[in-house]
Amino acid sequence: MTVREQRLDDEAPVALAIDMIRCDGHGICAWLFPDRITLDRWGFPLVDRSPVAHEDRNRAMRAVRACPRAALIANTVPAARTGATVQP
Amino acid sequence: MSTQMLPWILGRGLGIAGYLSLFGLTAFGLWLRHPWRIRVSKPAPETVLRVHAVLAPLTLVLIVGHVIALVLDRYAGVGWLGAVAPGGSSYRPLAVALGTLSLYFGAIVGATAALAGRWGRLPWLPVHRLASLAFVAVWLHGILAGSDTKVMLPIYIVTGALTLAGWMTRRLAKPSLTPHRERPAAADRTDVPMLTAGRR
Repeated sequence: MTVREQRLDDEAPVALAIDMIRCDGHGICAWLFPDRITLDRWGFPLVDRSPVAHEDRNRAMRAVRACPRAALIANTVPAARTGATVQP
Repeated sequence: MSTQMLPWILGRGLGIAGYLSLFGLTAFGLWLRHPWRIRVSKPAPETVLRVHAVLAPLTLVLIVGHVIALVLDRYAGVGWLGAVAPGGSSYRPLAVALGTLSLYFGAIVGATAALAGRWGRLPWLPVHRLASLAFVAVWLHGILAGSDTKVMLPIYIVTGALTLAGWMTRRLAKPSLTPHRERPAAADRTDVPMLTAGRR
């Protein structure tokens, strides 16, 4: 099972990553989450991989779900990296 | 100009404006993922995306205005039934039906894109391909339903030819023209390692 198919904990802090092999440059991720995803001159995403702030998590997850190639990935980040407390 | 003519003139004007807006929407949509765009730095992909996204609601407003104006025109022979039910118009039923169907196609395409990612993995991209069908239906609707087609014909020919050329060149160009497979590491700004997502 790939990372894309696993379900993330609703409260877990996440960081975004992009699978450039899968990405076809549709750009909807940059439209939905422009704070952390921009497009390069060819229209492919440049993803800020630092942990996403809690208040931006829903927008990040919407961008992940909207990717038609499932190329945008949300990875859980250990609480130690964000300073947040994660519920077990 | 008499007030009786107002709905007709509004209907025609909004229809033409809606068609030109749809042409822009389609052209920018085609250019978004056109292989030739890698040779052209302007406009920036984000600008193309924004224009595409802004033109969508604008087109919808213009087309809804076009429909309402013609429905309110007692002499147009369209009526509410003709506007919502394909074939229900007494004025050129086939031509008007093409317009009605294209409005439904456009609404589905726009709604699925606007809701992308909101409820699970909605497959908006396969639905988005209906946009080609919608454009063809609108183009035929404009030519067959417009009472001023002779005046508008050069515009229909030029915009139709440009759209067809854009669509065909996008499909026929080789995928190897896309550059990203040669630079897989270029997308990342920071060095957060890839982690396995937690399961429930």
